[in-house]
This record gives sequence, C-alpha cells and structure tokens, in this order.
Amino acid sequence: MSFQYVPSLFRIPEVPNFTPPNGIWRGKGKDEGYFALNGEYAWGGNIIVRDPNFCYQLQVDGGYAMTPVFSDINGYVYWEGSGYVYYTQTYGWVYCNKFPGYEPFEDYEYNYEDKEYIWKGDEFYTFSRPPYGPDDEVKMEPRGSIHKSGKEKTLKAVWPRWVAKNGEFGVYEGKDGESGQRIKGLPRFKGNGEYFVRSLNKEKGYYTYGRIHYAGGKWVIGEIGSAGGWHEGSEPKPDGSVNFKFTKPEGSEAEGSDISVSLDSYICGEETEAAFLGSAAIWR
Amino acid sequence: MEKVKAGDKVVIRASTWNAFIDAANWTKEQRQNQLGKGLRSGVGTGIVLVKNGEGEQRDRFTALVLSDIAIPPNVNEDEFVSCTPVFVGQKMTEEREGKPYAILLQPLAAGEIGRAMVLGITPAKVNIEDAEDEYAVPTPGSSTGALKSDANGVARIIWKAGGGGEQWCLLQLGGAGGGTGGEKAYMCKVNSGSVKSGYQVTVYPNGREDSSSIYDAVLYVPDLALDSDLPSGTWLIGHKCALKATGGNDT
Repeated sequence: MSFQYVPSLFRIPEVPNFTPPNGIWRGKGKDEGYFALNGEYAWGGNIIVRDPNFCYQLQVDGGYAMTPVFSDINGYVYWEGSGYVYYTQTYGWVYCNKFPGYEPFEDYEYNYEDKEYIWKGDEFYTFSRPPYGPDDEVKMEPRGSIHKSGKEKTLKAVWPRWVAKNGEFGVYEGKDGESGQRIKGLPRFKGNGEYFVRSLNKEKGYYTYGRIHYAGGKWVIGEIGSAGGWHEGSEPKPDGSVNFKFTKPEGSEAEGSDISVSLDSYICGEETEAAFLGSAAIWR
Repeated sequence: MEKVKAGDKVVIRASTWNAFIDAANWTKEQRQNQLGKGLRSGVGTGIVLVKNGEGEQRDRFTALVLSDIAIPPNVNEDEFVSCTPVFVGQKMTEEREGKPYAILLQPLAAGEIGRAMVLGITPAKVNIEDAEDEYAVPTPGSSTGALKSDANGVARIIWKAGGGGEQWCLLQLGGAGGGTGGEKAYMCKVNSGSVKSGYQVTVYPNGREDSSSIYDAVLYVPDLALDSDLPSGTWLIGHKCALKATGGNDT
C-alpha cells in the first residue's frame, strides 16, 4: 500500500511517440505489481499501470489488443497478441504472424495473358508509424500475397491505465480497460486550519496523522490528561469528516472548541524508506 | 522600583539590579532574531528537549530517533521560532535508519520531556562490534536505546577503552560521517523478485563468508533492461540509500 520512487532511467527499446520516464514509482505491499509514471500529455500525464503495460498496446480493427514486449527488434519494442507488430529493415513497421525479427517476403510477376500483376510472398501489412495517441488511427496496407486481394486494416493505440484526476498525488481513474480508482500519495486532512498528514507506515498497528494519534484506546489530538485540554475523536477517513471533541481534566478551567477533521488532499509527504541500489556486471 | 531626582543619594537593591540585568538580557535576545521574535534558546548549544515517545523509560546516555516535533510551525509559528524545540523521540527501527537522533542527558519516563544532545561531545555506552568502526549508531529495534558501532554515521567515536563489546565511549555528535551508509558497498545475494518490482536480497554487511550479521532488504538494479532478469543466487554489490516513498491503495 505504498509506492517507492526509484530514480533511474527506464531501460527499454525505443517506443515510437513515447519517451520513457527518468524514474518510476514502484508499488509495494497491496500496490505490488503496480507502477506509477509520467505517461506524457497525450495519455493523461501521470498514470498508474500494471506490468507489462509500460507503454501503450495496439489494437487491430478493434480486436483484442496486442501487448508490448520490451525486447529489441531492429531498435524498437514489439507487440504480440493476434500476430505481431514489429519494425523491419526492409519495410519499416509491419503487422504479420511471423515472429519478430523475420523479414517478410514480397514479390510479383506480370501475367501477360490477363495483363495484371500476380503478387507472391508472405501475408503481411505495412504502415508508416504506430498511432500518436488515443485518438489517432493508422491505416495498414496489405502486402505480399495479399497485396491486391487483401483489405486495409486500422491500427489503434490503447493503454490500460489509471489516470490522475487532479495532479500527481491523489485519485487515479481507470481507462482503456482498467476500472475503478487507485490512490497515490498520503492523505492530508485539515481541521481548524491545521493539516494532519497520515504516516506512511503503521506504528504498533496504528497510523499517526500529525498531531492526531492513537493513545490509551482513543484517537486524540494532544495529550490525554493535559492541563490545557485535548481532543478526542476517531481515526480520520477519506470519506466524510470526524469530529474531535474538546476534553479537559475534571476541575480544569481550560477552554477550547471541537475540531472537525476532513480530507483536504493527497500529498507526497517527506518520508523515505531504506533500499539498496545495485549494479550488475555483464560478462561477455 | 522608584525613580530618583538629580542630587538624590542612589541606593540600588540587589533585586532591582537583577531586574535590570534580566531586562538587558531579554532585549539582547530579541535583537538576535531577524523576525523580532524571541530566538529559541538551546539551538545554539546543541542541546534540545526531547519527549520520550516510547512506552518505556529511557536511561541517561541512550539514543532516541527524532521522529517529529511537538509544536510544528503550522500549529503555532511564534512558539516554533521562539521556544526551545521539543522533539518527539522514538526508538530506532529499520524504517528510521538514517534519521537524526539525540543522546539523552537525563533519564526519561514514558511521555516525559527532558534534555538531549544533538551536537557536541557526550559519553555513551556503545557495543563495539568491529574494532575498525569509527562511528556509533542506534541499534535498530533496541527497546533500550542502545548504540552499536558502525563504519558510517554521524556520531564519531572520539575515545573508547578498546577491544570489543559494550563499553563507555566519548561521542562527537554532528559534523561526522555520511550518515546513510551510502558510500559503503554491501554484498547482496538475490533471493527472488524482478527487475521491475525490485529484488528481495540477503545483505552480508561483513562479506560473503560472515553470516552472523546478515539481513533481508529490497534491491533495485536501475541499469538492467526491463526484459532482463537476475536468477536467484546472483551476487551483487549494493549501496544503501533512503528512497522517497509515499502512500497507495489502502484496500
């Protein structure tokens, strides 16, 4: 239920129309397997994705989307699913059912009797570039044995992701096949002009929220038994508000008012967690 | 205090003179603060007030991590800048490693506030684990605030009796080593994980053959391609660091 920022280059082959971020937030605990990164403006900016969706998927004629594979094929990433989309040295971008790296074959003969070209070779499609963004579609031309007989296909980009509703830290909403909401950041509550930021981890089974803490079986602001009084309430929740009632020792003349605490926003916070950064030698 | 006229015999009582001195000192203190408010006393000497945030008593010359302050500026700015800061002290844990800490100058009951040193020279008992260690750090998880020796830290051991084991030392707090152990290389053995989510590793602080001080940790390998992987059993050099962390989904 947290994210840890690893400031490092994102080592993947080139993805057309996408610049990998310089750092990535990696999910831990209940967020294990989720990654938060900057997906660029066209895709909504700050996003959360699941492995392996570190870039967009490709959809042919509105069918099942092909997922990216981050292995280098002629300098680029490739997509796999119902066929493959990859970069070739001969034709540039192709869509075919041959494993990436294969250079499709196309040839023709002229039939003098029918006075037409007869196309031969593999069945494949070529196109100039993958789509720029979610609203862009690219036409794919039939090539090889289907050069003349085949029909055009359309290529569309989709990216299953959660998009930030309001800034990097806060609620993210599902798009392109992902549903529901996800959270990135620490909830910050506010009451009587004072902010209460939730701690990253629980201590003895309870979070702290700035001056709001769990003590003596109660959620309190201040110290129970303090001569100047303290406030008693319940644990702050993102939904609704919590009233902290002013309380004082018997006989005390201290005066105070109740504090109503409710969610203000989500923030990054200033906490860090220990981790190791390592380098792996490559023997050749 | 009564005023006198020209030619009157002046007799100054001790209490009157002391009141003048107090007033002069107060004025001088006010001028030191650019905001015109009182300067927090104690900051310049390296001695602060710490509230024992743990459930048990802490002895004199033991360590508490400074995890928070009792009165932050958003609660009371005047008090924040003008009063001696009161830190909330908690025991050292793995999550708090690298955070600042103080050595208590008096025993503190649970919840009690007392004096502690963050900058200066103080005696403290340190468990010397390696004769080569030049620094002292709070022992993670210690419920007594015990200190142990380390190759890095912010408390330099400027004197010790010698040999190993727990012993009285003189510590120079502040202005010492790196503090986070970032310069030290650790041998790490991969147990599981992936280049995307990070690897679960066993850390061998004293080398591959010394299994007495090993512990588990997370290790990221930033330079590996996303489609690469490291098999379990791989040995790596790791550098310990504190990486930014924030919250996520609770449910």
